[in-house]
Amino acid sequence: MAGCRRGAAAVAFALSLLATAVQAQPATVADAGESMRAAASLAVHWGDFAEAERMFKAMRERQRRTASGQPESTPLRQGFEQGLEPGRGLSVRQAEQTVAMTAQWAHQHARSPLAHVLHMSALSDLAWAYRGSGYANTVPPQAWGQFRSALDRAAQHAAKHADVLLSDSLGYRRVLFLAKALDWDAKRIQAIYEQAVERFPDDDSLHFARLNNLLPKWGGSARQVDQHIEAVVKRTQATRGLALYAQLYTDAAEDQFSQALFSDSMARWERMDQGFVDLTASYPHRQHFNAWAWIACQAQDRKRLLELLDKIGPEPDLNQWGSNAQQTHDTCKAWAQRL
Amino acid sequence: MLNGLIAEWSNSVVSVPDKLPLDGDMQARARALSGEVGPALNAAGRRWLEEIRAASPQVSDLALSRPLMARLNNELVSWLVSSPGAAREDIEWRLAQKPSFCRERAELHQGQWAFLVERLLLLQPLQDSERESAIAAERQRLKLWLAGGLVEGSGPTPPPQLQAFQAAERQRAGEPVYAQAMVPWLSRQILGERAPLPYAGLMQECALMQWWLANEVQRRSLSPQEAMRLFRHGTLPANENLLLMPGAVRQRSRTAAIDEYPPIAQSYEVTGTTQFAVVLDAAGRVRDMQVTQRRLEMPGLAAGQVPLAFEQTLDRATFARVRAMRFDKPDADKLREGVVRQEMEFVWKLN
Repeated sequence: MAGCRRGAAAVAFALSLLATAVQAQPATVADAGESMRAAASLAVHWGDFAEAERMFKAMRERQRRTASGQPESTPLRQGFEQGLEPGRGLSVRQAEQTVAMTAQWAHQHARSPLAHVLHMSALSDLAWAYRGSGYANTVPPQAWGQFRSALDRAAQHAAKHADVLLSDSLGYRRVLFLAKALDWDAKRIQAIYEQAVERFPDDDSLHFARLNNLLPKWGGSARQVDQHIEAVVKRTQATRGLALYAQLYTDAAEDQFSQALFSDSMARWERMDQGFVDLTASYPHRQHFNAWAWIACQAQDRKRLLELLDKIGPEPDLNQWGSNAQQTHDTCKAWAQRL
Repeated sequence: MLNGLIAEWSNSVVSVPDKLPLDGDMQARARALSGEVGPALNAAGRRWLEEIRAASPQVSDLALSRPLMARLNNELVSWLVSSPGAAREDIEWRLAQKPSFCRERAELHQGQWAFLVERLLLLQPLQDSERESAIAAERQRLKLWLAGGLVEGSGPTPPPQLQAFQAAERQRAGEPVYAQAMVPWLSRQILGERAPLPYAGLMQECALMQWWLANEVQRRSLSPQEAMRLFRHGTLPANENLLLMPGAVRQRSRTAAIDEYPPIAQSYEVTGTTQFAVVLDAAGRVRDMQVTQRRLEMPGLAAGQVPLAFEQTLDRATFARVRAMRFDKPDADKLREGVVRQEMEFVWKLN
């Protein structure tokens, strides 16, 4: 009980401190991470690799986090990958062009981990362009060979340039995704992850990449997800409290569990709640208050939800409210405000 | 009224938008150059008007507005496609390949034309003495133009836009065309779900030209001077866009080409012939089409001038008409390596 009271007091204290910070930051001001993401995407989208390399090197030298607490490498990497035009509707011909373009870049900049990472991303996009984004039973048998062949090319490239590729955490992250797609042995993948976090303890994106590997939809399980998240907490608790517990389970909800987070996974609301307290104490970003509110609604913690909705104000960040975000937000709000 | 036209046209060359994609030094240079060139442009415009008046002394000001606009537009295009000198082409070609140039250029022209600023945008990567000499060369070129010293002949044949577009179509069809890949933005436009359109706006034309020339320079061992001539012609704004307001043009440029005689060419009384070659396969399908020669005339031009600005308009119309034509299967004995080449021409004649 005493612990609970201390927790509640800490929450109240954190929220009171953060009220000023949140109000001081207008909702419409773009986060630095957002502008980095946009600039990185534009550079790759137009084949401006000199600019991409410049941004990448500057980020590595600064070693900073954005206002939301992400390492700057995260929005930058997201921007670079978006610039390659992946996703639904990417034709094989388009993907082949991107593979050719990034191959040339990687050849000309053999010492650049970014060049190798993006070439591997392009090969992975090519694999998915062959396969299509539907369920496995919608994929023609012939396409599996092409899918596998493109991924094998990515693996060969990774093996050939491992020294450069793995000199940056982005390289490890890319290898983790590739390893899962190629169905490598679980122990081998875990070993890669362990090595990655040993070498790059500050890059949270490695924990998220491994989490993605372990989701039930990719052959993992709720137990494996929980074991991974608890292991991350053990590794980071001294400096970050339960912040990563909250962030990783929120990510798992976005990627897989959605509104069934507390029934289909082993997430515990008290730990998530405390995690958001820890997270927002360091990074009082509206993105986190919105994610916290979404999870509070799922946990049916009306009091917390009301506090957070009050803090968020009339313009929620709908990127943090799962699928069908506007409706989810409105429903949660109506429920919280019901007498 | 005619002086108003001249002033408006002059502004499309020298205007300096509030939001400039230039560094501080280039912004200052843009404003200084604009201040210098603006009055000289207006003076040149009035001189060209007097030449037109002298050639048609009985014609009212209202009737002179068309030939004046045609002349102003043609002069502008002559400047846009002119070389800053053979010695500078090496640098220009390097600058023209800058990946962000096409995007920044299209964004610059979104609200209004600003051709002088476009030139400085191209030169912006140059620093210190290189920048200094580039600006000096630019000033010299402007002087030469306004003194009547730039006489441009007909544009290149085959036209670079049509070559690039057809190469892109072949790439889309899966033929191994070029080694150098398209950047993702262009790849989306050309190889995405929707079939691409020819002359699909400033940004696509420019990006297409960068891709096509990057490959053709290697394939044909083009000199920087040859490459830049193709680049300048290949990235000209659509003539309709220059003569009308930028916003009004987009729909027009997509539909006008299908017409028998492009309305804008009729309205400016452009006449003459366009010769072209069509390559047909055994089934009578058009495998390639290239304009080979143009003989065009237009009222308002000085002796020796060709309607440079309208060449692209009629090239585009020719391309659209050929695409709409149905050809008989060629005689099998005329096929060489599975195709046959036919020379043809369209005559542009006003009733």
